Amino acid sequence: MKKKLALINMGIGNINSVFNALVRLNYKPYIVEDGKSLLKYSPTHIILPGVGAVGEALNSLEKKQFIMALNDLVIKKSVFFLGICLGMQILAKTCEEFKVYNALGWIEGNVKRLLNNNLSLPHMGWNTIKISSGNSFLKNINNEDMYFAHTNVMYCEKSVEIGKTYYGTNFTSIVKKKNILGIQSHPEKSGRIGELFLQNFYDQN
Amino acid sequence: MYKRRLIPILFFRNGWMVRSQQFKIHQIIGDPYSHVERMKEWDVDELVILDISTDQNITHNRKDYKIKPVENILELIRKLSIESHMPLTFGGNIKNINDIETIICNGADKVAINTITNTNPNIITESAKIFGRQAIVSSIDYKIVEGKAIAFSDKGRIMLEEDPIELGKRLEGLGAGEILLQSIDNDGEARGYNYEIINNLVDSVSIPVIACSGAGNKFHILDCFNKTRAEAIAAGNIFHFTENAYPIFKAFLKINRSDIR
Repeated sequence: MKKKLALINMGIGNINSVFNALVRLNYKPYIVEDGKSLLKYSPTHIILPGVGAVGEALNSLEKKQFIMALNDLVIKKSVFFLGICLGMQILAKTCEEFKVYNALGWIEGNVKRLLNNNLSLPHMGWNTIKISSGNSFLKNINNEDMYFAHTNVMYCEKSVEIGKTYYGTNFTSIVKKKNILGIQSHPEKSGRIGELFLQNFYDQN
Repeated sequence: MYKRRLIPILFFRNGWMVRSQQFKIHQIIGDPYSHVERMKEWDVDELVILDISTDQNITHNRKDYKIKPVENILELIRKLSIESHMPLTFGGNIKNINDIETIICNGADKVAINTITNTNPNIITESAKIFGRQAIVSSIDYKIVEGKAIAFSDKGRIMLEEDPIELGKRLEGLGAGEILLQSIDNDGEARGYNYEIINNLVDSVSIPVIACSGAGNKFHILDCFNKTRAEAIAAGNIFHFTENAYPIFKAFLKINRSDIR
């Protein structure tokens, strides 16, 4: 089957980094601006890049009618989904930032400030992702350094955690549930290993 | 394991990359594109580009240079974002939120702001709300005046009333996600970092600090990693005058410390 990769533009922050990383891999990401065009495009793979604040992001997803479309494609039709950074965080039931927001709720968990014994936040820079459970999404990826830039993390059921990272405490850095994948770091900023991660996602059939 | 970063800073001025000394003397060291190209090859932890241009119109175009000056810095950022995966901070001459948005939408991951914060401190709060605080780097320049550290703005031209530590705390409160600390006295002097001020700042804020100014050799950088708790250490001039300086320094640091990528 021909692959169709949709890149969701929430309209906040910079999606160019992810777009450019995908183009460097010779993929043809299609940028979608609202839920209607996402449904119309009928993708096989969806990437939700996220930088910015969670309130703005959820607002924009709602306003652009992405939430309904995503529920239809990812939950009902099992389209492969990758959420990056904030895009991973909004998979949880709730996200706390200034106040508590209801998020997509695809993963049993909530997102809040990383409790890390007084290390600086945001957690900024390169850190190791320890792979706790191998699968096809993580082919040829072992314990590797990736680039992080975030303050909040997802506290979730351990059954979906496939990667974790230590920053004063262990936190979940990669989650997987069926066709849904989320990563807290930025593969688009993480060199060869980040590319490999994006490749593995795109290779899912 | 969390890795502390070694960050090259490129100073862009009126179309060229320059080296900087005490924020006053600037010598052209070449074409911005070839400098950026080198950073890509070195696979740096992160890159900071600071635009310290003074003229709005770049008329300077010496005949003895084969290469033309870069007139549009945004084009350089775009090219970087298309061709490389380096985390990129861009700063300098930022006037408002629109400028921040333009820079981020052209491919920078973070912006560094300084002078505008004095007249409009809320720009930090507002932009952090839109782009996330991880995207907002507050830059602090300071100088020792009569034995006391004092913060400066506008490329070292305006003396402020706060010391860099007080200012750092205030910027954190406003929503800054990181602080880039530069010493005007040590800029380009190659005599080592000011460990005391760096540690004072690191101990006073709970956001990451990027310590800059003073690296003259690899031992200065290692010393700064050993003697301070700064999350990242930056340097400018030194990367331009030693062949393959970045990879060589990285290899040296890795022998001595485990928290280097």
